[in-house]
Amino acid sequence: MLLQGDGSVGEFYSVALTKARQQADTGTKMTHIGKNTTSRIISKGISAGHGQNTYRGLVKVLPGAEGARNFTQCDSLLIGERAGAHTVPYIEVANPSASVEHEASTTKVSEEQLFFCQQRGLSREDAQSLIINGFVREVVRRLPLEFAVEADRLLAMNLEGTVG
Amino acid sequence: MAMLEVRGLRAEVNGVEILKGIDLEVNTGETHAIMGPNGSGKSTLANVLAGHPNYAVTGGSVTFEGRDLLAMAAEERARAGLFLSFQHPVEIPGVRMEHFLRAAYNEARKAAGEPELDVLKFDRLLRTKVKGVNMDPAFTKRSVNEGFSGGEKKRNEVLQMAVLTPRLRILDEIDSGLDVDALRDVAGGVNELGGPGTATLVVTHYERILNYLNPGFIHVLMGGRIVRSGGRELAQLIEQHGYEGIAPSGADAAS
Amino acid sequence: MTGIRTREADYLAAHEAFERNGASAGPTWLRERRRAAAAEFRRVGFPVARRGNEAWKYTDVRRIATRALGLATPFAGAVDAAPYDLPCPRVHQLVFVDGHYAPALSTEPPSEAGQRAEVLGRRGDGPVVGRLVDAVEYRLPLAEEHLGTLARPETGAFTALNTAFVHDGAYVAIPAGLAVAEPVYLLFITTGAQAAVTHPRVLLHAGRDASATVVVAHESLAPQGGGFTNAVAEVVLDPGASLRMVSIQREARDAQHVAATHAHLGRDARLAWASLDLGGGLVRRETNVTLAAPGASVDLAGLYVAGAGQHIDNHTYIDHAVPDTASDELFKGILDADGHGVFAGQVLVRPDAQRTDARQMNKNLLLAPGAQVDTQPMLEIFADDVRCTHGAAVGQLDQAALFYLKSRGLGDAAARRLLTHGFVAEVLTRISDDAVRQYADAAVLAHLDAPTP
Repeated sequence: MLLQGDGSVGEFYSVALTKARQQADTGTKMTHIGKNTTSRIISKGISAGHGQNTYRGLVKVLPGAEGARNFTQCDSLLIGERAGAHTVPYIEVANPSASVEHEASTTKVSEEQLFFCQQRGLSREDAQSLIINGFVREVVRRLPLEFAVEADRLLAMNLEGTVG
Repeated sequence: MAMLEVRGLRAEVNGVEILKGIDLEVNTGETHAIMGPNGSGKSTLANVLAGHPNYAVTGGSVTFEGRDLLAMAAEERARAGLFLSFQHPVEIPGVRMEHFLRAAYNEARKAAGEPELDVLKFDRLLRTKVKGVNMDPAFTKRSVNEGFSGGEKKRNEVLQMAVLTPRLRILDEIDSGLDVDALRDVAGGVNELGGPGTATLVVTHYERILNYLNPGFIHVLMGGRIVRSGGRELAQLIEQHGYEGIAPSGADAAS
Repeated sequence: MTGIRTREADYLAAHEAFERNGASAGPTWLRERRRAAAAEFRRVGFPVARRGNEAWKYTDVRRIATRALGLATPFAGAVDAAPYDLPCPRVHQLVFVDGHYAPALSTEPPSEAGQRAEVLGRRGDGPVVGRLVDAVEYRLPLAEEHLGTLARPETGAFTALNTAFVHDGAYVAIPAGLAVAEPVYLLFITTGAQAAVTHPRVLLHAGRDASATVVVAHESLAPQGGGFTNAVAEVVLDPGASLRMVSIQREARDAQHVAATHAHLGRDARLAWASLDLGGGLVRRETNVTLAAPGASVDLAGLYVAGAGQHIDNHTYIDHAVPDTASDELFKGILDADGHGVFAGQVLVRPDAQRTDARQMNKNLLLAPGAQVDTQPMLEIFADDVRCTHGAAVGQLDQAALFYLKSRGLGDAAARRLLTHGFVAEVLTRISDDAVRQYADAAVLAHLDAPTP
């Protein structure tokens, strides 16, 4: 994405789900060129089974991109002890008025969370998809309604059989 | 000559005019309260007087003890004896209270043509000031406001006031986020430090703090203008009728 | 690579000459390791490729690779090391000037061969600190066991080059169970009298449950006239050992400085590391930590301040190789004028390294137009029961804080200085030894206050 015009805004939201032995690479290139440009990247990776998710993204602020702002968040959810999550951001800033922030975290679906939901009457699979839905909510809620419904459905379908 | 004279002051932030012509006089020994609803421009007035760079003055004049305040940088205003107690004092990680206070104190001494205090002498001074405002001396070893509770931040503002001994004290919502005990302490500190030769400008949304600071003059700020001025009774009217209830009809008030 | 002439052949010829030189001969194992390293350097050459060269993506070492530099010869003049004096007693101090041991500046200069053997050979009653060449000569087992085994030639061309010339350097061994309160000080001074290359080497071993503080400093006598320093340090922590290391680099503004540290931590061992890079024109610091047994933990902190003409690159690599290890990493950069900072921090959580706790943060202040930073915080996670976070931030001094300070009477320059110093504090507070921290703090302040050249 090239943010060329002054005041232009770029947003990138992604959800990637890998299971079994799948590998997924997500990411974007966000280049700030114009003045007062803003970008936001939210990437959510769910790795189940032997799945491997990689976020690889570039945020570049060119010398003339006065007042550039970027916020990037990469979160990984791991399900299963052979799952993997990789975060490889490249941040290149050549303008002193830029503000760039990158945050990433990795968590697992814990036995405690699953048990809590089960104790309240949910099945293990439902509990898991509930937790995953919560995890990706931030991205999915930005989608138009029909896509959001579709995304939820795909996530649910994809997860079938991943509960160990 | 009044200590502070504000004439037709206009100011904007990001191209939006917030203050639309303020007139105000504060004399030595007086306490004035600026009251008004949220968004009326109260905090803007306080920040403009202190020289915050985000506010552009577009008209009018301000003199402080006869000097052109608007021509002075924020730090020059501070050294000249003007103090703003911030509504939200900023946290400054890594900068220790004692270093910060000593630097500020010595800047004021230099400006007054007095010799700077060395670490030991300042430490002694600071200890008595800390005791005077009932703060835990351990705070002086911590980073400025970092991890302080709302009450501690406001006590810290009072401590800075005690160290810097300003003549004009501008208190921006000094009661916000304080419980009753903290409010009493903070207000008590402000009163104690307000000896002869000082004046106080209280900016507040609520009447509560006025019971402690007892201002002789109340000004109601709405829509960037002072729409009504009076004595303490005005604050009670606001308490009873709300800001809309006391706005003079026909005044170009709400914005 | 077109049109540039890199000097690998010169270095290899120098290595051949070095091997023929009787003084550097040493035992067979050492000669073999040198030869293997030279062969590796011959194979890979300087990492000058500008495409597909991920590890050197942001740092162009052609300035090093094309420079014709000879090995530094002993400096004939007198050196005043007083400006680099630690403000505290130290258990040992070893000083090297232009790569050569300086007995007059070092503590306990062992004069007689027998005395050296005794000093180096003693056990149990104090740390063993001496010249690497003596440790090799008197067959201290740790030298053969560890030298070149962590900093293997395959880990990088510069490390291979250092090992190809390995001869002298600092040898520090803290005997098992010994807690040394006073720091060990290893000081490497370049005089600027000759533009030359040095290959400083440090071998550091902390025995079981030993505890010590080691300060390593690279200083230049002159602000200009720098050569090329190619340093390698190997750090071995036995189970339960606790080592605090502080590394200060203030080389000449036109010097090139490459430093690789390889640390290997055993069960429940703990390394607290802090590095300060203030000098040098082109600096590349690689800090590699392997958490090789459960309970091992590392606290890695670094500061880099790059002003006019400076390029400072920090690469860190933390390998969570087994379950139940922890790392906490914080690197901060201040980039002024046309200074260029690079941070690449890799955290690897290997399969089965469950219950890893890894935190990594890189924060940068850009103070001037022309200043630049490239940062790459990387997480590679192959286990699920982990707590890993990382972050990076690039920004300016907090405007609200700046106004707060000014509203209390501080001038613009004083307010900026206080805030910049405050930015640094988060790194410096990780140095636990009070005297060393104050020394480091004074070094940073002096650097921040120095007029830009």
